[in-house]
Amino acid sequence: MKAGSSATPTTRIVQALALAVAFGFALAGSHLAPDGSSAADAITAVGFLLLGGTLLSELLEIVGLPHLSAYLIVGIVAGPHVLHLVSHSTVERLSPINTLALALIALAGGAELRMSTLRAVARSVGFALLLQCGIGMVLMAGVFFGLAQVFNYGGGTYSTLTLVGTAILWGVLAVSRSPSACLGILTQTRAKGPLSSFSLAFIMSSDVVVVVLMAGALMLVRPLILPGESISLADFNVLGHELLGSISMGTTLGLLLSVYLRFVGKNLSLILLALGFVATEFVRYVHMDPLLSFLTAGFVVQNLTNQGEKLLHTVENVSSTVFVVFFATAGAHLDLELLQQLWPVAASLCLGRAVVTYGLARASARLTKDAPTLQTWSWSGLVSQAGLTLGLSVVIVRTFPQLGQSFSSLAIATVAINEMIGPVLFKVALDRAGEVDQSGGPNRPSMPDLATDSHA
Amino acid sequence: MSGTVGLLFGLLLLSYVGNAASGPRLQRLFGLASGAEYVLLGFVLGPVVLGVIQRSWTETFTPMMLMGSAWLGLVAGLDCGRAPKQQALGRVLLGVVLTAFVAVGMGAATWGALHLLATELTDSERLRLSAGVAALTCATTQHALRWTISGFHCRGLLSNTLLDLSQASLLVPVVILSVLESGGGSGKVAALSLPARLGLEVGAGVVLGGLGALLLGREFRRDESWGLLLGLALFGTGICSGLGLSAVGALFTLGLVLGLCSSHRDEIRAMLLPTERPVVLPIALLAGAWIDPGAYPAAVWVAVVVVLARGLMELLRGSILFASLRAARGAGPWVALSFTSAGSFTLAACVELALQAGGTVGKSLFVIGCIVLLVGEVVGPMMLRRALVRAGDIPDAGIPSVPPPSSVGGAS
Repeated sequence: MKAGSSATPTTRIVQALALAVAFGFALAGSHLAPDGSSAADAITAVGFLLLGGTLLSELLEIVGLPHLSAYLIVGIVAGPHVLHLVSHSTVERLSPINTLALALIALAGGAELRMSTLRAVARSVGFALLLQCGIGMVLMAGVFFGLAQVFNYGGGTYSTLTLVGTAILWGVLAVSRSPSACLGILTQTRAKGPLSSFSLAFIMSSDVVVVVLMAGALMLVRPLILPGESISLADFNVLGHELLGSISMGTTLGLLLSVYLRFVGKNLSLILLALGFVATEFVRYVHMDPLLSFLTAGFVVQNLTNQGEKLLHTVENVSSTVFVVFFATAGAHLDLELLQQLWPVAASLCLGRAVVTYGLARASARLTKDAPTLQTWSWSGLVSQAGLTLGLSVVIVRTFPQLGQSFSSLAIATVAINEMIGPVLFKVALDRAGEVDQSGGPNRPSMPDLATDSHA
Repeated sequence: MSGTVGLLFGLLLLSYVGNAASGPRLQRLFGLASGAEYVLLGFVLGPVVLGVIQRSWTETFTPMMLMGSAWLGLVAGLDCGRAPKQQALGRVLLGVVLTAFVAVGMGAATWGALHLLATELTDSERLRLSAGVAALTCATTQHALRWTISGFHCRGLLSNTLLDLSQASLLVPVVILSVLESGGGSGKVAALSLPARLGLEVGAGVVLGGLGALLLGREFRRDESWGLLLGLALFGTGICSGLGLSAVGALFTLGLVLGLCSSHRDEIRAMLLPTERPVVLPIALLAGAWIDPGAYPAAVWVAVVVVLARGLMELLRGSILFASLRAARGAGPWVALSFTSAGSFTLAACVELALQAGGTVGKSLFVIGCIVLLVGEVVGPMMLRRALVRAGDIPDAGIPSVPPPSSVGGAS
């Protein structure tokens, strides 16, 4: 990991002091305040996570950790499993911020996908998708099936067919990635280069592929898990409507946004808030997928109009604050007790996934004769998992309640591990690949420096 | 889609309107100085009149009202936190003393009115109501005066004098607000003495403001600083609200400390002062929808008495100014009615008092505060203009000029 940063020791001392004061205030407040003041609790939580995440991210720059990891750590430490500064119910109350964050992530993700970049990496991404999502899914299903025998998954109550079905579903989960983690790291580091282009293009497109794979898997495994059920194409019908409808809606949204950017171009932060909260609700109301809609909207603005950079700049400004709370809340949401119980099997699955991802990435990069950077590091951005995977696991358990709590618990545990390790690996890779923006410091700081006379 | 999402869209739209109209020229086209007319709009759209906004929706947005009112306190404190010039120090202090005088008078008048009109209230409730009304009716803000002064391109002794008198006048209602809310407290804080609770509140504001001033450092980057300022503001709001202390008071202190101690006070003001209007309009709408005159009908009659008492107290203030300041002699004693324009701080205090107090006292304070706010916002600018014309500060009477380049509520 790259050590050091441009901030002075005085700055770091003040930041550490401020973090200590913030923790002290929060601890004192939680002891002195009565229980049940939910509005004040939620406001305190947002403020503390924002403040603590911003300060810790600056401090951890010394050891080269990505800001994302700092936000997660603050959330974990402040969360219901460690210091109890943020309770379970407060974490649930903060879910609207996730809605906003995911809309911004999708919008930024789409806007980052420039046609020129896509053309350059299309072949690499295409092969990688085929290998990672196709062969990767099968291999991960195999890993799950094998480990299920070793760890006696389900306590021996599942038939072989049910285990095969469960393994296939796990395979789909395993090939889902984290657009939020990828974008969070790229935004912080302002990385530019083949690795960042490939990772962004792959992860954004794999989202769509995974959604289609999930629909297919749910259809195929139905007779395996539910005896007497047969394969039905109705799910694909619904999926088709959803995909096409989301793309249409996103295109419309993108064009409207472009018109606004071109002819008004003001109060963009408020427009993004309206998109994040209100437009998301509308998209859900008409049974479309918000992630795909906003991804399409960002893509349209970037590639069909000349307002792409303006949109990106605004989204970056707004999301820099939103991401802190989003990832810190994700950290607070991590179930450490569950992780403690399931860590052997979860760690084994994560290791298996990492090995499969690495192997397939190397194979794909060799097949397409990619640049040495990609051959060495293209796997690194694919390790992270977050909300998308958890969302898919909820869909699975809702469709097949027989799989029970054990499936979702395992998903939560593996996502927790991948969410903590993935961003670190990706940042290391970007540093080693030399793609991080070095102008004005190794990383974009969360706060300005307490400049001394040496900073003229 | 739920009604709350529709209301959220409406609030964001209002915020957009407020942001678009944050320049002085457009503000004059869009109504009153503090956006108080949106309280009326909220009342009309609310459950009492048209029922477009349901009461349950306003309850969903209680955290937003809490945050918004505290944020307005921060902005007010930041605006207040300008070290006065040496020659103006006397006028600034006189302004504080006169504001305290008006506060005492308003408190006594309200107490008397409640004795006559609200006999079912206990002494404790009357005291809290009287103190609350005193806090809401004693002060004005520089922003409210600048709104009119800059609109008429005024330059003169009276304009400067009035601005000096109002610079620190908000300190008085902040102290009353803090004492009033700290008088309750919640959880283990309730067991502490009043000075200790006050110390906690002020201390929180001072510490957070000091941290902000330190962390923002010598080099100022606007984008990176937003996260910090928002974090400090939300954290302070949540901690104080949870402990039953005044978040508006704490954040006012935070803003004051930032304004006085930060080396980047001008940049911070340039960032935060324009956020006042986009925050005020949605809060005003929600506040208007929250009004429930039926909860305590006597409150409307008390409000009438309070408005009349305010007029009397301001005349007394004006007489003192007339007697003691040369600049005020040209305008006459009616000049003090200019101070009835209270600005967004009054709205913020009103909202917080209502939310924290709750029950009959809270709802009554809210009704009285909103009525006083609306009347003041109409009377204040009118009387100020009259005074400025009489004093000769407006070059051509009645013809509004193009405002000068320096914006209302902008940097020092």
